[in-house]
Amino acid sequence: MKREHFNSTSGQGRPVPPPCDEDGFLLDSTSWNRRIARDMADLDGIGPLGPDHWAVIHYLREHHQSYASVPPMSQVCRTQHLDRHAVQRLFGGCREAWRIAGLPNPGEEAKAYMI
Amino acid sequence: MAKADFEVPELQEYTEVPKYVEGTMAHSSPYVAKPDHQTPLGFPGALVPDWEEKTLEAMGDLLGKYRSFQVYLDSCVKCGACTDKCHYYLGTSDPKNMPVARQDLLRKVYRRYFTFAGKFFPKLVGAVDLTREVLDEWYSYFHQCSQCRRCSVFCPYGIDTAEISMAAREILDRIGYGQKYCNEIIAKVHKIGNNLGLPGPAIQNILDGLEEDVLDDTGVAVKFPLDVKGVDILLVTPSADFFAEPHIDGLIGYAKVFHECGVSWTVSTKASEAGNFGMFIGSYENMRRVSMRIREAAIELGVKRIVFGECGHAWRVAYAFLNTLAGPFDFLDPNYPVPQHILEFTWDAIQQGKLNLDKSANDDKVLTFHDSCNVARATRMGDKPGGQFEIPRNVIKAVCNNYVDMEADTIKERTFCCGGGGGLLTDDLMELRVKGAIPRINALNNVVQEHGVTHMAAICAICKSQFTKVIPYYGFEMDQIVSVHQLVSNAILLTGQGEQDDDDGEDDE
Repeated sequence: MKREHFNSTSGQGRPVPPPCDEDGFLLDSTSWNRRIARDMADLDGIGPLGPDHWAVIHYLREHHQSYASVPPMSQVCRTQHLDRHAVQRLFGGCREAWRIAGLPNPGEEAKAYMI
Repeated sequence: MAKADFEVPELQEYTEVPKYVEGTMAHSSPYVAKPDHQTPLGFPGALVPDWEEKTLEAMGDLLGKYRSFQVYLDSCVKCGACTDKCHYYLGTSDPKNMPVARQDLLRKVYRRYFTFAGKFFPKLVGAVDLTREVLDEWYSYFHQCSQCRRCSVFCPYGIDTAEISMAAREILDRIGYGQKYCNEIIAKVHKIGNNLGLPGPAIQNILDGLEEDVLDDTGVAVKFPLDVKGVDILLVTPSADFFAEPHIDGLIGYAKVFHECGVSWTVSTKASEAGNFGMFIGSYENMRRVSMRIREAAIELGVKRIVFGECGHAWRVAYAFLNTLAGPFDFLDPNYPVPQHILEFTWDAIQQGKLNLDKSANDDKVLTFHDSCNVARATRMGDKPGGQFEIPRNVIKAVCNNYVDMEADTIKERTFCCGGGGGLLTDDLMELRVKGAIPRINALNNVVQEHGVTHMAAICAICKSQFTKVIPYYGFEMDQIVSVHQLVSNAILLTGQGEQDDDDGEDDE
């Protein structure tokens, strides 16, 4: 869950995710790609990433691009035709989904409410 | 069950007062604010080189400004009544979390530099020099106080530890030693308008989505207006209501109530935050700047009334300070309270029979209610003493068939803090938050075991989020926490809801 996971994981033929901040969010969200998402999910013990995961990830990225903010998870689930607790079930929480989607640190209050 | 890298206390039938263990929470200290978080608030970016001098200067300034601060520092007689009243002491056993000991951290420096006895005979009166060690201890333990004021209820002198804690944080801010969580958030309000940093288009997108949700669920076009001029009511609600769960279900409840009452309303981009963390850090100036956004929005939108959503400390600022911070509100309709709480509005609507309620919609739940500390001990609702206790319960009982109160010593003016209030709702204080929640969780567990309670309702964004995050550590499910207006939303039968919608000019998809 924490940044150290990424630092300490090297070798095994798997690329080490690019630098993250102290809360584990990518420092440069433009460096994100699907492989990075898979690696982060692996390290979090989530995965493999299936179609529902990708639907959430792409929605979050598009929303962030349009509105520069975090959408309510109920909105994510509704628009992606997923059950209401899908993000929790798929990623363990919306903060983890946001992180795996490679999006930047959303700030203190958003983190507090991204459960 | 959530995992923890610290020892989670075991649930007890009744919260027992632990034997104190020195220093158990001495390591607890939130992230320090960076220059980016400090300077927009008018504070130095980092600890100033002459911090000793500046600390005493700030303390002297506050002693001159706030008479209560000096009275609180002078009047403690060490009777001990407060020692077992703090949820953080009960949860951590650290004696510095006894309210009197927390106050003494500041008091011993006050005595050394501001009292005759302390200046000349410091050892006799427990006065100490201001050192870096003392300063760091302030930073640690004044961020282990959620400013809930439970201790003040039991203090025979009415000493308010929250006010001392606020003063300590103000002093720390003024010397460049602020807390990241609070100050980053306040800077965000100054810049964007809300704690979450949601820009206007993002709020519009969310509100549009909620309109679609409610239309899908009920067949009724309930509006969620943003920045609409000339309406009756400006709703000022915590930005968590636009985003988090179960908060957002409460927002749906407010909209349904307004819809059924036939009043026009709007939320505002400029005043898209009810919360006011300026209070948590004791900064009058920041509290005023945040409050002024509400005044400006109300004037620009030309509203007649201001209604606050479910938020504990926001209601304290609104109820107790808004008029002096941002008043006079003589441009609003004098027939209504300025401001009004959404629960006052809803309870009034229920009493007038304006809402068609089906209580059985909540029959899958047995409810209890958590009194939020700022609402319980610093405000009132309605026009009768104790309204802040009765009105939320009345509303819940009007929309639910099954309601049970928790033990009397843990509710109303004696309510226990959720463990995350006062600017402590941050992951870097998770150990404190989990341990500090134990008195409330014990009381909740009792009614779960004895009365089959399934859900706990709250009326504070912080309480809801704190419990949602923390109760899984104790084996509960996060969705056992609900908003009061979520229950209202479940029970309201909207006019036209359930009728055939093909002949009544419904909107197209």
